[in-house]
Amino acid sequence: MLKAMKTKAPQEILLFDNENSVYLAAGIDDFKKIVVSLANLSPVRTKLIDITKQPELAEKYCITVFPTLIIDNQAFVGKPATNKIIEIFESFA
Amino acid sequence: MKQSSGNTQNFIIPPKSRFIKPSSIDGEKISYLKELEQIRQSIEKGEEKVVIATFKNTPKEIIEKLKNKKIDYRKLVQENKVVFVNFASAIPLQEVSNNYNLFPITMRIEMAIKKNNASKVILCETDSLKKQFPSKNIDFELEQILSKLKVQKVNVKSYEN
Repeated sequence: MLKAMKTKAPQEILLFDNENSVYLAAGIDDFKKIVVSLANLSPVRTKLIDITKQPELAEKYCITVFPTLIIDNQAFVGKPATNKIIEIFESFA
Repeated sequence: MKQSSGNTQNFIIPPKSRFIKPSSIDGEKISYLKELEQIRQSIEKGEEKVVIATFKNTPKEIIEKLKNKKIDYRKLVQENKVVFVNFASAIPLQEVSNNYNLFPITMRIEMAIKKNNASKVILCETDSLKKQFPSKNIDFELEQILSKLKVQKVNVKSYEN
């Protein structure tokens, strides 16, 4: 699914969403598959965060919308299509 | 003209919650900094507790701007009379689709209201949301947010810039 990550592979991937979110329902499977693929390629810390259950993390990362995907020090907002997620991850490689 | 009769008193029942979009008759824009200057005394006296939502400048930057005007908001924060909710992200933000929801804004402000038992909310520099989220109708989204905040029975003032 993903090309081999090189030296600049992301260290941390966080997805902020809400368990009742329609975006999450539609996109979580894709996201999980991609994260698993990514973890197989390179060590990376991944976390799915429900903003209603962990509001302190929403505060820490100044979350304004969901879903928000944070990869290292960049934030991507909106539920992307699967190929867009891959494109984002590969841009870090 | 309708006259009041007997000992019936004329009075106006204030709304439990109000949304005020600041403006002035002469067209001069009222800044959120001016508002924060003006309400400082009532906050200091403990007459009201305030939640300040920041969308462009961070709380630290706003506190610094007020400090330059000889107003110490840091102390008010320490005394829990003012709570800042920071939406001014320090990291670059990219919109990858228009499938998203601004619910976290409402959620985080509501939490701050409850935590602080606040009676007033000030939204600072909301225009920056338009730049961050170009595919959304931010004016409409803000109306939605404000109508939800009204349920909390707080006065809300929103400043575009």
